[in-house]
Amino acid sequence: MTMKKRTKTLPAIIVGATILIGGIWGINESRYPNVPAFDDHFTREFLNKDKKVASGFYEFKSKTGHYTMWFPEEYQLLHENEQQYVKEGKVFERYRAVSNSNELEYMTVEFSKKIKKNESIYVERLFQEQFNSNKPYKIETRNVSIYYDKAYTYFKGTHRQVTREKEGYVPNEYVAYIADKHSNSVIKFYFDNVKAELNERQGREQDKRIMKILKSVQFDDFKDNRN
Amino acid sequence: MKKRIKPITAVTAGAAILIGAIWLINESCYPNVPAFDDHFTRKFLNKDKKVEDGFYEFKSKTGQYTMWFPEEYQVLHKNREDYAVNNDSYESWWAVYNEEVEGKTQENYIKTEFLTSNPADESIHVEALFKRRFGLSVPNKIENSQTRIYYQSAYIYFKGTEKHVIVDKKKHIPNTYLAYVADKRSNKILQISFDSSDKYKSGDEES
Repeated sequence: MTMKKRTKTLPAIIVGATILIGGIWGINESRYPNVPAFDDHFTREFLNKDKKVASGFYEFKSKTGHYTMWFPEEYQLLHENEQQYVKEGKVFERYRAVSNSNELEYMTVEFSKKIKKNESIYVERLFQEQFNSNKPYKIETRNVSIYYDKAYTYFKGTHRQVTREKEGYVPNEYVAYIADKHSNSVIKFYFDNVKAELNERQGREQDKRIMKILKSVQFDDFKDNRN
Repeated sequence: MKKRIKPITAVTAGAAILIGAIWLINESCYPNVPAFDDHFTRKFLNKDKKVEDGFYEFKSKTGQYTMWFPEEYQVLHKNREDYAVNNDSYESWWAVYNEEVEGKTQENYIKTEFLTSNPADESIHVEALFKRRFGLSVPNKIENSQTRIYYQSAYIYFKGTEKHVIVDKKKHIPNTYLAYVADKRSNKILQISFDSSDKYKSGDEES
């Protein structure tokens, strides 16, 4: 008799506990926005779920503590190995993220410290290397200098072809150098969507989105000139 | 009917043997090392120029430099960005050697980037490069009649997502080497890195 009773209580406890745990998990998950960026637990750690900064973007906070930026809600950080996400104390961080709706669309964001007085030389190297041209666009705000350029690139065999500012060639690659005016903090931004063939209208939309991201970068006020 | 089939079969068999033989003779012309087993890698190498034991001469497709290439390595060409060249002004490649070390496969990588750079800015680029990779601004330097070579080695490891660097050779045997080679008579430079840590799974733009 007692034996029979015990076997009945045990399954009941298990079922109850499962429902409870499942319920807690469900409630916990439901607190997060239902978008790819929050579906990934690694990406989620960088985002502020209560700060939907604009339609389609959440605030991303660097683990170096040195900057925030807008992060597209359909993106997820890659984190299989150290080439995809790596950090060095508070002086360096690089992440690579991929769009969940278009798996060929990537962005790479690299934070580092660069000596301010050499800015033009670093900028020249970056654009020369990426687009074989040193004529980036420049935007100045009160706090940052943004250098950026875009091009349509493709490979002819092993030869990389770069086409800049030519009608009919919608850019599929963007590169930017964003420098804080009050510290040595720098962000290098790379975007590529190289397999896509966008039409003019899609190109303008892409351009708008990327410009939003570039302008969203905010460095902290913490002045550290040791690096 | 019976008779006609026979010559055709014989011709086919003969042709197959001939083609096979030509292929074999052709293949046997190349040194029997991994670098020549790969048809992509082979195109860069001079099979008649074994420059030293274990090395063959590698000639850049830019036509701007040659270097020694270790015979165990193969140039990667699986993904679009593995190998890139832009006329005579830019080239990047990386090569891999899967080495058996104590029963485990260790991936060794050589990664290079050739570009042009204003010699007046050399110290700035060198400082930025070594600072970024190893956290130190003054690398070792060698000069010969043709080039200036800046180099440094270190042991690099990861704890979770955090990168750590040990520069002191006495504390740990290096697994990463980096060099910046500047031509004395032009604005050409070549950056070469060697890595035997397992951190390079894909190409990246670390500079």
